[in-house]
Amino acid sequence: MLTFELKKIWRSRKIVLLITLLLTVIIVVYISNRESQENWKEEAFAQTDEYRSSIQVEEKRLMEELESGTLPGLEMRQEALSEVSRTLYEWRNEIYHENWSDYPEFEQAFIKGVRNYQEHGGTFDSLEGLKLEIAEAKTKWMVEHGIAYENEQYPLSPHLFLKDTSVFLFSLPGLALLILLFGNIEVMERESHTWRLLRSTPLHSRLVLLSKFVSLLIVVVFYVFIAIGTTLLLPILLGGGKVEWLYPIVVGDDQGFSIISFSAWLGRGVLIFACSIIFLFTLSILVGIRTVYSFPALSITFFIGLLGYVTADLIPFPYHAFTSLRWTEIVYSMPNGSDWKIVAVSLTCSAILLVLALFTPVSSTENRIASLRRFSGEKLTAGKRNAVKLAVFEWRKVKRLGLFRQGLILLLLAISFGYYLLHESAEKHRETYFDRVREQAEINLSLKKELLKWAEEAEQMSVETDAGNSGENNRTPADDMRETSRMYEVRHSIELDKIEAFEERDWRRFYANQFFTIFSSYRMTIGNFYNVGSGSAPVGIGTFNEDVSLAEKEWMMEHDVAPVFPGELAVSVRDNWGDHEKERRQWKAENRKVDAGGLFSIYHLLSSAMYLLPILLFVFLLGGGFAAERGKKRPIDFLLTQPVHPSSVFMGKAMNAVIAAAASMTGLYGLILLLGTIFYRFGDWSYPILYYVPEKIASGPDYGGMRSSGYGYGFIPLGDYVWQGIVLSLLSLAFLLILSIALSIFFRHTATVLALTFLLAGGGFYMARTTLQEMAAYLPFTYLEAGRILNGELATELNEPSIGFWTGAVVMALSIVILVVAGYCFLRSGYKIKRG
Amino acid sequence: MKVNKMILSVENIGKSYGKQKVLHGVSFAIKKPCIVALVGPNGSGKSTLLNIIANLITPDVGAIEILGQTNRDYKVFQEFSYMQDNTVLYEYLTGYDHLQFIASVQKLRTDDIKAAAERIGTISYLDKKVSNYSLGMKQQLLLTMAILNKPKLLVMDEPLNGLDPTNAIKVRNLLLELVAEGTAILLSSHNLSEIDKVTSDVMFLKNGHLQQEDLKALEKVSYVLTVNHPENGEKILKEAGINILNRKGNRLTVTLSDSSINRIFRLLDDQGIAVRDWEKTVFGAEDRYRTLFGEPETAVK
Repeated sequence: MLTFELKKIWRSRKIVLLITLLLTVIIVVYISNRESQENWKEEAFAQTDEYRSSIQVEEKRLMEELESGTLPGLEMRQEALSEVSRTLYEWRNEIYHENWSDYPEFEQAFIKGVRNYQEHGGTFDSLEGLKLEIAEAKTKWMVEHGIAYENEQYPLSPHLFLKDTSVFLFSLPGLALLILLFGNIEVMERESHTWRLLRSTPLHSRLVLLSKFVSLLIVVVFYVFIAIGTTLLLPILLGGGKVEWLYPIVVGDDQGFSIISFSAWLGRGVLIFACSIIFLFTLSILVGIRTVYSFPALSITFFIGLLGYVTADLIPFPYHAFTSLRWTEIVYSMPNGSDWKIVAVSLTCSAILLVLALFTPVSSTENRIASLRRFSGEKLTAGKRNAVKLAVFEWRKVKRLGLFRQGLILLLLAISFGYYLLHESAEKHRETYFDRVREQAEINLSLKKELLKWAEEAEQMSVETDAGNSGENNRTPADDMRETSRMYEVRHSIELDKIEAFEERDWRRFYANQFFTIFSSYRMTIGNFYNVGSGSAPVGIGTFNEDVSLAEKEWMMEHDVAPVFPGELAVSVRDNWGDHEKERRQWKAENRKVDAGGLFSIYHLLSSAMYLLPILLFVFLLGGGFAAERGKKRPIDFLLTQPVHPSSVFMGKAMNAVIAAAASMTGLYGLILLLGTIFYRFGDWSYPILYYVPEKIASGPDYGGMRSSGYGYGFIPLGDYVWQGIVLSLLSLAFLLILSIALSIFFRHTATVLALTFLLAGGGFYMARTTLQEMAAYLPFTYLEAGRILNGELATELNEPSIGFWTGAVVMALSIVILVVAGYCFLRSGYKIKRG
Repeated sequence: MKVNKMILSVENIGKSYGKQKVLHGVSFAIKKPCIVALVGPNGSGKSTLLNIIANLITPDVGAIEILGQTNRDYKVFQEFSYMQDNTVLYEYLTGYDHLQFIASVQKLRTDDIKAAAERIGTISYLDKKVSNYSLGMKQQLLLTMAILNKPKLLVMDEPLNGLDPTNAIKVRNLLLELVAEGTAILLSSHNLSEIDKVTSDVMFLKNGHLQQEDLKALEKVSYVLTVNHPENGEKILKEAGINILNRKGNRLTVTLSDSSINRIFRLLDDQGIAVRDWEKTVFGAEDRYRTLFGEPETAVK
């Protein structure tokens, strides 16, 4: 039986597909890393630039301290700092000569120098605390084991490449792939009615199920072997090198860390992965027993798995079945003995699910009798045109098959759950904002008090020394301090007034306070800068974001719209963070606006491109076209032997798919709006959404809009963004459906048709931004990302003002018409549909 | 005066799959309502030929006309039905869904569906999904679908497949009724004894070549007589020049060339041999099949 199961898996070519997909991903990542490695040396230099800046800052500080007087230990500190500077120079020299094998030694010498400097009372901002400890431990490991420095960001060495790709191979994407390919191993038998063959053998049904489970375990072993093997071999074959099993991997968090070898890390990762996939497989088997078709079985498995992954922290047990799904978190956490608990719990849960599956009665394939038909004598024309009749027939098929209903239910569940998370997030953002406001108020108050105290002390000192320390206009330092303290007092009252204004729903006052906060923070002082090396541009949120933040508040005051939190600072693509990705991400995470109102919820869906997920689902469910009529069964022969032209069949399929999907998608938008309105609020139609103006327009003499740092910008009302986004998304949906159905005229298999559709969409999307940039405005693929079209981001990126909603709507609509007409005419011309 | 169009004209059809030539210059015509059987071993190209007639496959050479129109015109299906195998059915649709669709495109009424279903006997399970049908039920549904539009030409691929004897008889009688109503029927079948009962127009397909035969000319009638003294009976009839095909137990199988059955009864009666039972059988298709395609290998000893 086991041999039979393995033979079926092999003959179904799923293994071939799995290997193909794995190889494709691995090769793409490798090529991408290789291209990114060109600037390796410069990146290595850049990593040491901040140390150089820190040395300069320290040198300046030491000079100031030396000038103010001789403090004990200052000379020792100066010597230590010189040593740091020397070791850094030598280290950078090794980088210049690309002497990567000696790099760790020189890095270690530098780190020792920094530690020595700190022990002598110095501070070194760019390398201190946990960061210093990690660097120390890692370089020590590398020197002890004779391991050379490697590019960890874009690795090409076998071990680091495997570590890099393991996020795909062993985390959610890898799990999802295996479930998709093999998760229906049980339900598939009943779906294709081959279960009867198995039941007519002298084998107990439980033994059959067990052998399926064991075959899945073998698939897991095979997958791990292939994944690790190819990921290690490819870099060796293409780039030489060897596997460094002892390469140090840093694991841990802000509380603590540990260095483990690559082999230990890999072993840990494989173990956790094995536990998670075994759990998911047993779940899919249990779910499959109670369903009849693969689609609902896989969907339910995915849904439960995803739900468990997202809500793992909410479950009141430290270890449970879903813990192992958080692969990345676990393998990068400090080993503390919890791994075995995770393994034990996961395997126990899997065993329980398997036992349940063995003793759960199989869902019957007997279907309910459909509604009784009355022979009323009516003429069954359902409209004059054959295309309409065929559309009705197609809808009947969709209804009877049941997958569409199940897909909609899945979407409803996903939207409801997604809305719940959004609601929680919005509440949390609001609370966090006001916590910060209160905190800031306290800070301002204490600063005011501190300044007043200093002012008194300064006055006291002035009286004692009888020094006439008056500056211009007879102002004393105490006067300056008092004035500054008044400024903090004002800031303090502004923060408190924000809370009051919000509670009174006085939005204009609320925004006026926010306006003042931004203005006083970024315009009245130097601003949120820190210098990176001499001669570098200031790094931070940037003037553009400051100006946009201020203009946004003015808009909101003018339109009297309710606030969205945090909302004080605007977030845009034009910042000054440069290469500081971590800081940029943190800033974006802290300032990204989140709201659970009806309109804003749809805005989130559109701007994050999540609306593409239901579109993909609808294309999967309805886009099979003629290909869905082929396969093991050939109902296409039934259609082709009726007095209807294939072109009418094409039109009927297209009409049904577009109407059913568009109506469903509209319903989903309506549901989101309803949920948002009931549980939060409808939202303000006039809420400002930042709009980027392309340079071609912004730099023109007639441009009368807003400008900052040379970039044009403006705002569009949220309501306009939403309705335009809905229209563009529906057009995208229709376009992809028609494209898929048109392709099904030429290609036999549903999988091929869908794969080609997605490939064309993805490829066209990519080409529109690269090779075909000049034609981007006239390509339908450009408008598949509605969010970046509506806020002008894409138009600005390509500097093509014509890319926008109206052009997109026209281009999409025309493309749909062209596809429909082309398919219709092609079939009318006598092209013979492939039967399979 | 209206000139009747040829019902089916198949001219010089040839078809190859790679190097294998499946059909060579196949030509025949059906001019009036009748039943024509297409017979051949598995893989001889019967289904290919029927699919070519239905324009599901394009021949390499040749032309087909149905009721005066080229078979490539989809409108021919208004008066032409093709009963295929059950793989063309949608498993997740009910039987009624299939019939409703056909009635819709054929511009028929629900009464027509009811009449066709009652005629075939499918009405009791029309509301069940096809996935729950037995093989016989699927065949009956296919038959209902085929006759729904009262076609002038009905092409059937193995129509008796999976039918129990009762339903096989019903279908046989239905075919004869349809011919009487003006439908020409072309059917392929392996059930040679059933073919013999409905038609003597048989086309044998061997090595891609078509051989049309009128089995009436080859018909052999035999009688199986159950008698009380089979050895004596055999002796008497042999002496009278009656051909005895075989004797099994108390049953004698005789063929008549120029005698009448009355003579046999008189001969036996004169000698005091009682005829307890008798049955007429017609040999035709099976004999000819054996001649053309050879004896089948003995499967079971």
